[in-house]
Amino acid sequence: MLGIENIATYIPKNKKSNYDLKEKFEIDDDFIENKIGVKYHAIKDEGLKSSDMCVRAFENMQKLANINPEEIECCIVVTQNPDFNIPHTAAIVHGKLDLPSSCAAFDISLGCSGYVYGLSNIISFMKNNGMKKGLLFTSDQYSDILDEEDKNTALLFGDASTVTLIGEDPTYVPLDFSFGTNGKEYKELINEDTLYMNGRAVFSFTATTAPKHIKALLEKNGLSDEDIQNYYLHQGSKYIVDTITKRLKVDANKVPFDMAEYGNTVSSSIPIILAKAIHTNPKGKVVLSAFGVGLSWASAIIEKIK
Amino acid sequence: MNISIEEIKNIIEEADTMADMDTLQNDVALTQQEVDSLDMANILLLIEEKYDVKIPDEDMSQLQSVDGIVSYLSNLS
Repeated sequence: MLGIENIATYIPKNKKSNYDLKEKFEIDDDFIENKIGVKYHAIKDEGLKSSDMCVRAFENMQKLANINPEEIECCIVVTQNPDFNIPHTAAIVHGKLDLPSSCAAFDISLGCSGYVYGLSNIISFMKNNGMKKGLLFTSDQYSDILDEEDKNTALLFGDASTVTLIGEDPTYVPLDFSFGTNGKEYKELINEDTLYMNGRAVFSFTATTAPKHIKALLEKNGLSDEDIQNYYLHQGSKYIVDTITKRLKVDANKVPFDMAEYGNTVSSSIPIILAKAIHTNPKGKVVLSAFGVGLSWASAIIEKIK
Repeated sequence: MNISIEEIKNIIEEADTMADMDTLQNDVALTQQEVDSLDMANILLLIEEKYDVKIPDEDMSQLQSVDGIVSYLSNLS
C-alpha cells in the first residue's frame, strides 16, 4: 500500500519580525500574537528559486532517510512560484537531484490546497503506473511577490518548502479525499504585478466552507470527532484556525497552531506540521484540510499505522 | 428588515472581540472600540449568515458602527 514514508522541510533561517512593523501598520502585540499569529516570517536568501528550495528540503530528507535517487519514479512539485513559466519546476528539480530518466516529473499549480491535492495525485498516479517510490514537493516564495506596503499580506506570508517521500512502507496511509473549487471568486486572491488578497472575502469563504467540508468528509466515512486524533488545518492565520476550530466545535487541543515563527507558507503549511507529528504521534486518524487561492479547498483523512 | 440594537450587540459579543460590551457606544466606529479588521470580517459574516444577506465590500463604509449596521440592515428590503 502506498502512503507517506517520511517528510522533510526547509524553512529559511532568515526571519523578518512583525514586531518591527507595528508602527507602520498600526498594530499591537495582541494583533500579532493572537489574531494573525505570525511573529516572524521566514525569508529565503536573495536569488533562491523554487527548485533550489526543493533541493534544500530534499537535502534535509537525506538526513532522515537514506534515499537512492535512482529509485525515484515520480517527482511532483506543487508551486505557484515556479522558476520559469516554461519549463515546469519539477523538471529542474529532477535535473538538480540527478533523478533517473525513467522518472515522471510534473508540476501542480495550486496554492494553499496544494498539498492535499498533491498527495492524492501522487498516490493515484504511482498506483496506476505501478511505481514504488515518489517525491512530492511543495515550494513557494511569496517574499518575491509581496507588496511590503500591503497590511493584508505583508504580515502574513513566509517562505518554505517540503518534500514527502511516498512509498510502500508508509507511516501514514490515505483513507479518503474530498475537493472543491469556487472559480467565480478567483480575483479575491491573485498575483498580477504583486500579490493581492481580499482578506474579508477569503476569511468568509474559509470560515463557511472548511468546517462544512470537514464534517461532510467525516460523515461520508462514518466517522465522528471521537475517531479523529488531530485536525491539521492550513495555517492561514491564527484567527482563521481558531474560527474553523470553533465552528467545527472540536477541542482546540486537537488543532495545532504552528506558524508563529515562520508565517503562512501556503502549500507547505500542512506538511510542516505533519513532519513534526510523523515521528512523535501515536497511531490514529487525522484530518487534513486546506483552503485558499482559487478559491480552492481540499480535505483528507489519513491514518498513522505505525 | 426589523433589526434591534440588541441583536447586533449579541452578534458582536458572539464574534468574541476585545470590545467592552458594557461601554460600547452605538454611534462610534467599532474599530475605535477594540474591534480590529479581522473581528469586523467575522461580525459581517455572522450578520450575513444570521439575516441571510450578502453585504458587498463597497457597502462596508456604512457598517462601521452599531447604529450604522442597524440602519443598513433596516433599509434592506
